[in-house]
Amino acid sequence: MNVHGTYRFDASREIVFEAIRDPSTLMDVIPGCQDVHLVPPDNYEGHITLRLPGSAGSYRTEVRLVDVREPEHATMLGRVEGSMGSIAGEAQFDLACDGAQTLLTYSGSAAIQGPLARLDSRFAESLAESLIGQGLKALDERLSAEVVA
Amino acid sequence: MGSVVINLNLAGREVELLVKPLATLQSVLRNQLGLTSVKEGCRQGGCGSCTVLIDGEPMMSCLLPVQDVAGRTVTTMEGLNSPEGPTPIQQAFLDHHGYQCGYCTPGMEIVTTALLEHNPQPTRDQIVEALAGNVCRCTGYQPIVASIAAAAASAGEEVR
Amino acid sequence: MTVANYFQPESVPEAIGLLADHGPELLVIAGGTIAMPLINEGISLPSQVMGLRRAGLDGINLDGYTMRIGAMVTLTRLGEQYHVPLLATDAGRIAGWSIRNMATVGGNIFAPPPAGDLATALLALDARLTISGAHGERELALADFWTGFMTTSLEPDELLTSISVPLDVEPSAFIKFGRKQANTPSVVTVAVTAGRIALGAVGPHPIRARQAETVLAAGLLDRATIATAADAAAAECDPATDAIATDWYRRRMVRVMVERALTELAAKSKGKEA
Repeated sequence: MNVHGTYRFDASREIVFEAIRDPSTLMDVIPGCQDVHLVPPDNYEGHITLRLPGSAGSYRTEVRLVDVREPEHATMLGRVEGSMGSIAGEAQFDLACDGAQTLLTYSGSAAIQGPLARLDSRFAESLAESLIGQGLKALDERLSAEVVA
Repeated sequence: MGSVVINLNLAGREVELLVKPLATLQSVLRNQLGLTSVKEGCRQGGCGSCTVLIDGEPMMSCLLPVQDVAGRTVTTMEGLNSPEGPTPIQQAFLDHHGYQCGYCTPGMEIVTTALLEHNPQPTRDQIVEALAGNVCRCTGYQPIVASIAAAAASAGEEVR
Repeated sequence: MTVANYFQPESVPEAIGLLADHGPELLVIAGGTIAMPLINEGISLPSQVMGLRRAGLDGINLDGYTMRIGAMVTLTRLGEQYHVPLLATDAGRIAGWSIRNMATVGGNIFAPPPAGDLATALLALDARLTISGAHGERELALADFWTGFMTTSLEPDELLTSISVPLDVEPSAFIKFGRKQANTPSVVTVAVTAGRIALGAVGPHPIRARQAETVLAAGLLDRATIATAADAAAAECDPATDAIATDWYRRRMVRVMVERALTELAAKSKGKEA
């Protein structure tokens, strides 16, 4: 499956990049995130809970950041695993300055294995893009709140 | 939890069964009780070949946890068959070529039974609408609709 | 993985207690028309499942202003509630007789596109949801419930218990356009009433066509306004391509079906005045 998208933040690249790397921020903004730990320097492990129509469960998540060029780029190698199968792949994001704003561009591809692979990949793609979109929006709101505070 | 005991009313008899959690009514009827009029066509609720009546209302047995119908009346074609010969609905299907391979037929006849119970004189549109959930690969549906219209007509004659 | 436990709670508190005990691993099923196919196919492999048929969620209450529909009310039963014609007609058009005897009002709200025809009508009626959880009850508008594709704001310890719609009934129109006449996933679903336009199967969940509604609010329900509103609806929807239809076809059909639905609504409104 493939995902891609963009998001515009009202914050500098440095702030956005730092927020993305901060476990307690991730805990707040990733939909359904139950826990997240950073195993230094760049390994993130945690669990996401999703109640989807027809399936429920906890998904173990591991993400490793490689090719980190602060504050403009990082590549993520990740794996999400649950009773319905696993999704493993690679994604990258780039942060570009746009005046006082930051434009984030992301793209990724992943292989689906297990029972989940028998569903049309558009379900996983649409769900992934939806969750990513919700996460980016939550991050945006959090960063705005911090600025105000 | 392991297997659980439930009771059903099947063909007028109380039946006690040992079933696995979330076993479907389809698998219990077909595989445990040998009632093979209940077909396993898609297991998605899309083909209608597993249709049974629950307290007289048609439902897809492949999507029903058997535990959800404990204590209810379950009707399959085996429960409607008569030792004296074809029932009026079955005779109408015979007379009007309402089946070829016969795979969809139990589901069709189950829905017909419920339809004529609710609406003894259905219009052609009402017959077609009632059959929306039942798929047939052989007949092209017209003979099935004709069979049901004939069954309704002959039942009407008997009443008169 | 076989199912270890199938729970059949006989009350909402019992159901919520089970959710609290078993956490995210507990799969909740209503009518079973979405979950059971996935389980039968071995795509979903739950070990703990909770069915809600006995939890007392199948009541319908009328209090003069609203109709409060229990989340487990079946589509067949909803189809008999003629005081809200949009729901009676809509519910009667979904799937086939057997599925309507099993599928529930609450379950339809969680159905991923292109399903969710009843939810589309509920959205047009500005339905409100009652949600119960360990922390008590809360209410929110259906329009605010969906957060994205297959995701809602339902917390892990919560259950949708009822859906309320207004009883002051205005003329309405409902079109479900599929590739067959019945028992078919939608290309486009349109529900219109009281100046609201809800679209199904053309977004990550049912959506209100707000730009189109603004067009309606500004003018009379005449041909020109209807055409402009239909154009707006087609522009603002977000259809996806799937096995049923492509995104461009869905967008074109939004244009056609919104125009048809609004034209039907205009005729009904005239009839009412005359």
